[in-house]
Amino acid sequence: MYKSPSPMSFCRNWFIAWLVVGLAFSALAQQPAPTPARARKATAKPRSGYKQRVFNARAPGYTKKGQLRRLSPDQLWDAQPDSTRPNRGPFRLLVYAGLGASYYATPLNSPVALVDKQQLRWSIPLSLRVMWQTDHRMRLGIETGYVSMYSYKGTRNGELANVRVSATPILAVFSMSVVKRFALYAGTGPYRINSNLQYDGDTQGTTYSLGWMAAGTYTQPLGKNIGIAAELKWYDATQTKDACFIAQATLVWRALTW
Amino acid sequence: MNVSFFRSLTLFLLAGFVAYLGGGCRTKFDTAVVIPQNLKAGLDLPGAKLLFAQTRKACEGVYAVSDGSDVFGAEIAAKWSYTVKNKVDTTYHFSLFCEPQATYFVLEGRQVADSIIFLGYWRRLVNADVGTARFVVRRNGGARVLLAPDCCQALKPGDVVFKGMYGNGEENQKYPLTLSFNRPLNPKPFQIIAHRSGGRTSDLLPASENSVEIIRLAPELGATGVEFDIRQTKDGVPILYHDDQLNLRLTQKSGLIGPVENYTYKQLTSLVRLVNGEQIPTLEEALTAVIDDTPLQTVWMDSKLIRDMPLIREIHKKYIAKAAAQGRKVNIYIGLPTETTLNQFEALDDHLSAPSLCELDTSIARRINAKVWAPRFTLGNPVESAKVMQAAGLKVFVWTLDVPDFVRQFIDGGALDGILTNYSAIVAYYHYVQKP
Amino acid sequence: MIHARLLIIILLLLTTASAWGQQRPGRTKRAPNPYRRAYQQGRFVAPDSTSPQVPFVHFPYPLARGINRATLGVTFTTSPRDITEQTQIDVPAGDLVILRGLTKNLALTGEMKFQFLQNNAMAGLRRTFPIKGRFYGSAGAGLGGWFGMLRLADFNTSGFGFMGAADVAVGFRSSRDLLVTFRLQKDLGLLNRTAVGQTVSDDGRIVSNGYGATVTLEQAFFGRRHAAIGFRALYTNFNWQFWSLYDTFDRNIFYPEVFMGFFL
Repeated sequence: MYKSPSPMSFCRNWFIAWLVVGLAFSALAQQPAPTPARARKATAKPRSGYKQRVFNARAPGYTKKGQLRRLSPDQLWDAQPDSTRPNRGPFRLLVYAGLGASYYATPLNSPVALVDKQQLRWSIPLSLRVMWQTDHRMRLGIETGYVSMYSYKGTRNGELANVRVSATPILAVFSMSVVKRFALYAGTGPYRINSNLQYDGDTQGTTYSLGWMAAGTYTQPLGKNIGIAAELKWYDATQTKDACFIAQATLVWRALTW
Repeated sequence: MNVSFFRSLTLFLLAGFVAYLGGGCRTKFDTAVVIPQNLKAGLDLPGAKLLFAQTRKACEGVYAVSDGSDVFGAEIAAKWSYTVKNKVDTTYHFSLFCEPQATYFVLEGRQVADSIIFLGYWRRLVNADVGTARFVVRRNGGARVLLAPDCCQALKPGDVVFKGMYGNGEENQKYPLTLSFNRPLNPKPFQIIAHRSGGRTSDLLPASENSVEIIRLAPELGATGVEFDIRQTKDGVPILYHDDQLNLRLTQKSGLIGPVENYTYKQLTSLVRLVNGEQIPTLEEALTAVIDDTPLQTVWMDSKLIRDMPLIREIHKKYIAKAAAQGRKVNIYIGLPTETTLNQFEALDDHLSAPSLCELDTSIARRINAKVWAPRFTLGNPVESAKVMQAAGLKVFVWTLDVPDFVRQFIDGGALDGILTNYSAIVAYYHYVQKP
Repeated sequence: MIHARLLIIILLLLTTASAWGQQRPGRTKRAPNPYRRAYQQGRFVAPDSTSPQVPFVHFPYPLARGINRATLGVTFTTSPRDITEQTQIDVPAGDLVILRGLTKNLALTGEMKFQFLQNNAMAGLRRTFPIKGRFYGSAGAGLGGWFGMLRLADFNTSGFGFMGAADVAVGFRSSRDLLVTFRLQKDLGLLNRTAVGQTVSDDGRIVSNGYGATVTLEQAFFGRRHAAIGFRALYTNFNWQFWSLYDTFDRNIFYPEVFMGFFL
């Protein structure tokens, strides 16, 4: 007795929620920008006989005499949580384009017995990802692509049946550089699942399945704005229970810097 | 860089992962509850005989529970039903309906010497609790009366005593459960209509919702009627299916996705199976099962998405005639939940004489000469409207009522002719134990 | 086709932006130190090495007597397929969290989640204690209630209930004032009453509803604003947001929640 659902609304709401959280997370995880005090210290010549005092923001806020310690503007700057600072950057936009091999990793049993059944779990997936590289370690972006999840065929009632299922992820992705050149990715969002059936005619089907992804990349720079990455990735469309493992080569292009 | 931040982040991710795993490791509620098997072996004793019709009839009633009342409530209602397999093999089930947690027993009975034994299983519909039970009615505990050729005069309280034991899961029956006849069942005509042909898949029943198999199961769960959802395949075949899409809630993974209306009947029947392995049934298969295989009296054909109402009406007429030819009293209604289906129905030449069930306004129900007006329970118990509609010759069914408190009060209100429910056992209990 | 067009437009935009980006215009001139003016006005801060500079409502740290902290934000809860089946009802709830210091280690806690047609509020006490180094702990308990009303179209329903909760939390303050809190909670149902029309269903039993785990980050946000974000995994038999679905299952259901609040 349920009324017509809106299949996209669930995915959309999740997507928005994740985007809000991601943006917030991204903005929260700030990396310390060079402070005026530290910057001066790095560039100024040390004066002989004078030890420049670098204020430790974690030191007690009182002098030995018990009076409130007066802080200079630079010390105040140091003492403030870093994300409140006005100078930010650099920001970059990175574009990743990948091509590789995928393996469908969840159980695959057609519910009816087919004669001469053949199934294929391997495919050549494509992916495209755009990441916003902020001045801190977290990156935020979106990912899409195409992966043929699986296909199977066999004879049923004397007629060949062929089923193909593919997925197009539409994911919000976070990434974090762990050590130099190595980054981890995690994302969530809807997968657009497409199916194609050839049996008693040709029938297409589409649905959206909420899911997640995880990936790791090792990037080798090739030029100033270009690099190539080896990428291992897991796609999981949970509502339709479709998951695959992907190994791919990814071209990384630093498209924009500001 | 800032190590502690990344430690925190790792902690955050770890917690998320643990929560994910926690989600994955919790008790699985996505597969049907396994009903204890091989119970029939205990019945096939040397010299065991099937029970006479009058004996079965006399067993029905409201029983007081002495041992076991803390688990199964102070009273239970006992009712027989049957299922026919392959048109000839009839099995009679003795169902007991209890108040707590939608608990029911399904038993089979045999006469062994001068006693009657009952053996079967019990289950709580609201969770996955299940177990076995065994009862004996001894000669001096009422079997003499029940097995007498002239059975039975009206039984008095305490005339029949079921001495029984029950167990949890597959374990031995080690807890006592004693039932003592108290009074006959409430004789008032009342329809207990099982949602989705018997029950939801999410209640982990052994058959999938909207399958022929669950129609056969519905009577032993307490139903006197079924509601099922009709859609049409790409080639126009009316089938039973609830959701807008082929999905893993209702079907096994087949790679076929999207609306069922995009697929031909041949595609669906050849490549798709419901979660418990059944085929998606056609409307005709479902109606055949109701008429041939069960004692169900009401069919509510909910028109989910219909393109060809005249075809539905043809099938409707055909099966009304079939039931009449077999001497079966089955009321089959075309359910009209929306304006769209109403318009399709009103376009039929004979819509005023076609038995229909209208979920819309009372004035519409009267305009189309519906046989049943069916409001949603969320508006409250429609006592006043029901009286008006009943005075105009309509029956009133309310949908879809599962909360025990509401069921009890709606029944006690006395204004309804039936309730559509996912928990037939609960409605059966409250209806049958009600004192006239 | 609309997707293909969208893709082409995005690619064109990217290429244009890239061309512009390759010019690497000079870095924006650094803004003047904003604290110079504050200093000139005689205002200054005195950092205390022991207390976090990020305000907190979740972090188990003592709050001085009479000090109030509050966040206002939203909570997103996924509607569980066990009850909603193919229908998805995902409405974010407004979320107000407050904390008021009563004594050195005791604080009054409050949380209100509102969707206007249905709302939930809890109030309680929590006691904090240092564990070691940058780790702190707290234990708390609270009482609360929910109410909802749905009177439109085919619905004439209303409900309310009372609930209790107990929780323990462990917090870690990083060297850069990121406050991470891990909280375990146990939820109790004290009373639930729902009505359809004149018919009332009453459940006055004290039952264990379920339990939950929450991870919260409290940190600086843009400008001077601070924020708290978190993830909560609830595993419970009753969730006030879905009372109107009249779930009859006697089993705990998993409700993932993501929430975010801005400090007021």
